[in-house]
Amino acid sequence: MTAAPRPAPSDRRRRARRAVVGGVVIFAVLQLGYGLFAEVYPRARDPLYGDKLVKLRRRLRDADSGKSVVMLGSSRTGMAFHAAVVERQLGRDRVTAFNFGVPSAGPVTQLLYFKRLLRDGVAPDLLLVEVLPSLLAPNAAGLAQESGLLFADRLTFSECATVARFGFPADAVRARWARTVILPAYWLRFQTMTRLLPSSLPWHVRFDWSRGADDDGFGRAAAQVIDAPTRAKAVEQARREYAPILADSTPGGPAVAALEELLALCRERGVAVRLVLMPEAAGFRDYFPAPGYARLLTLLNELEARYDAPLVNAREWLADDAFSDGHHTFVTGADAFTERLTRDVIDSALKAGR
Amino acid sequence: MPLFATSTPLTADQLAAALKAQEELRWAGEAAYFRTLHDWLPEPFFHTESFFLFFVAVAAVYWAMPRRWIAGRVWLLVAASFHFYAAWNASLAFLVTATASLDYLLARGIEGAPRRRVKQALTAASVLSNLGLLAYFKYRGFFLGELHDLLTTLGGDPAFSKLSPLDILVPFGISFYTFEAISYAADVYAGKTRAERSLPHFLLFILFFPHLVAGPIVRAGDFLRQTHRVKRWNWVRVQVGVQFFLLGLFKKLAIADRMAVYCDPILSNPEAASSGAIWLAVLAYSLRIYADFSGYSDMAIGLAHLLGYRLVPNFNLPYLAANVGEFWRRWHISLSTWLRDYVFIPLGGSRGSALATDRNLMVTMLLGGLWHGATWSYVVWGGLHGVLLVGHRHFRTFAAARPGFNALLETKVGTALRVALTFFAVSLAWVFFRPDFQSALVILERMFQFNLPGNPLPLNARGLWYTAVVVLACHVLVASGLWARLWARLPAAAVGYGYALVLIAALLLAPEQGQTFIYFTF
Repeated sequence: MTAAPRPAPSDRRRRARRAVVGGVVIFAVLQLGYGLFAEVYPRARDPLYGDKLVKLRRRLRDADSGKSVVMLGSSRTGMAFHAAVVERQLGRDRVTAFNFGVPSAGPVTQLLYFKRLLRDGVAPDLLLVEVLPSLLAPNAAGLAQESGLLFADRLTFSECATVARFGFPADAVRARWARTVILPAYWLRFQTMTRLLPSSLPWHVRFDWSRGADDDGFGRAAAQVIDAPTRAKAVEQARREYAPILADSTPGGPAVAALEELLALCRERGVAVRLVLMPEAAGFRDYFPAPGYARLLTLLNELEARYDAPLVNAREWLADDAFSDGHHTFVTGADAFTERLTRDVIDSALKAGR
Repeated sequence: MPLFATSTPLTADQLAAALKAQEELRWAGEAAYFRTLHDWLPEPFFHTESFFLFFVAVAAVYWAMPRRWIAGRVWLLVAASFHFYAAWNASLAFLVTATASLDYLLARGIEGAPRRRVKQALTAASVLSNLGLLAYFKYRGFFLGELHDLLTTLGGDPAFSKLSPLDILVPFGISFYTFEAISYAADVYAGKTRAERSLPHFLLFILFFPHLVAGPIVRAGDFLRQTHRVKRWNWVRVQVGVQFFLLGLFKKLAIADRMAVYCDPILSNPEAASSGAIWLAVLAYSLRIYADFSGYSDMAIGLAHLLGYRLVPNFNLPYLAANVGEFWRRWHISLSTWLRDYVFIPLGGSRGSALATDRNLMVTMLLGGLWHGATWSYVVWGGLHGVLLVGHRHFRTFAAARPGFNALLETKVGTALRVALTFFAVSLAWVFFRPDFQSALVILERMFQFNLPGNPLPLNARGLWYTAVVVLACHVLVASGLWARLWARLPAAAVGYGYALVLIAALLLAPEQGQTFIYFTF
């Protein structure tokens, strides 16, 4: 390649102006375009939801007929509800089951996700809703615990108003949402990089939970056998995370309001619903003192009566060795839990149609 | 985060408590105005949203002023620079302004003094006041810590807190602006530069915010001339500024901060890491230091261009250096030339015997090491580079006497091997480029035991290798001249797309936690 002849100063100035102004315009257009695209395309903004939605739609499309069961919940649900077991037990022609568990999802996330499912044309015949006790009580500031877990970069504009009704700081949520639209390259970078180069991100900022799940939404831990020291470390980590919250927990406030709205919406749309207290190891159950647990049961019984949402108390269904850390199950534990849930709950609920 | 001037290791809790107490103490005495300023612009970094707004506001007013109103523009930049620094620490901003004013007056005195002795005395006053400032803020804790250790060794039990080595916050950029002031006094004394008549112009030389906290170290003769020139809006210059800034931003966010994710957890706890992880972490650290500091310099140069000023280039593809002498001609050029002009040459340079030259090199590099940080590890780092420079000098003499061997070294393969060897030596020396000397020894020990088990890298090494390959490819592309030829032929629209894509890539690749600039603490 030979050196290009040096252009005249006026040409150089013109070229420079075009390059700089063009760069600014292109950047602004790309940013705004991506921001708007993310607003309407859930896989860009909230891959935890979007990736599972794609899998769920595929399964519903592949199913010839029959009823559908969806379970909403946290990572506990994600690793415990083995939807393929339901289909195996009841017959693929009779039911399509799907696990919609995503990490740290409490009542507010469940409400949003159920609304999104309805908007996206998915109305299950039976909805199983995990009750995660640690997220049912407000935090020290009176806000929903989920306000520190569910950030505006996963929300659409209209959802910002929804979460603001349930104990999220409205101004902070809107400000963060606005940033994701103005500068999505930065504020949605973990969602984007998870898609482009997931190995470049530490696990705690990755959004590939749902993408890595099975076709039925079930998520299995990488290690299904762990040694005693690793398990002890995991149990201790879970204790540090949950024991302080559960020690003085009184369910109520915005999280319970969100759960009530979810149940009311199910009733309105004719979707049968069950509330599920997930299995826990004996040691984990001890983090939740009896008075707090009693208050929780009282509340859930009230909700059952008010919204026709029977409570499934599965806390003691599994032995301790079914868990990796006291509340997340191995596949064997998940299969045992799902089999019993299918036998005792899902089958009869589908037959009853309510 | 600014360094505390201490060499005594603290626990994480002690350090956090000391930082918090110091932060509260310093804000208790500040005016509410500066507190508000601090809330708005908490740290003097170039890659934040608040700085972007600050810069756009300053640049808009600057270019809106009539171009002939030079004094107005200079005053504006002085005020902006003062606020930029005061937002981080108002007291220290006043201190820097006051010492710069003193340097201004002393230089006027040096130039105007009728007798040589008076000139010498005034020059000494200027140099010593700056060195005193440096010693008090940056090295006091180091010497008190050493005093504490010495007294303890001798059997005494001095209370560490009574020596108060933690009481002082090291001002950002103190090593940079004191060196600028010292070279100014020396140049005025030597008649190389005329003393500046205008105080605001001189203040701008010291305080100009693009170079204030981490250089490049500017020379008065180069910068002051520019302050008196009429500045016209020039799209070519704007493009150069934008280009430099984007390049620096990319280096900082997409390389330096990402590499910190790989190396920091390993190098801060080397006892628990495997040998393989430490080798990779040292590679990541080499990339990080380069991208961090050259990224900052690029941003500084870019911002200066956007205001019509030209700062000296600070880096020139240093990891392509084929020997350590060449490395220092390519790395932190403004410091290495400063050390050459104001330390090495005054010591005698290479005019004396071989032994004297070796001594001068060692002294210069040891001082260069100490300039970087008030701990033994930086001194050792400087000393290692001194040894490498001396070793290379003798090797060069040895090779020059053997034409066949020399020709072999100059072949493409020989050059590639020399580049690789230089990179290896420089990377090993970087192990000491951290405040904790003991950790550096552990890192080296575990590196060379090769197969020790332990923690792996915190992330998949693929990203590290990709980054290393991209950095190498960019170096080669630029060094071969291919990049410049290609760039000149691209249509403006493609260049615009390039800018947008580089910015998007930098933002996308930014890790969760941003890091401070390494050189801010020097």
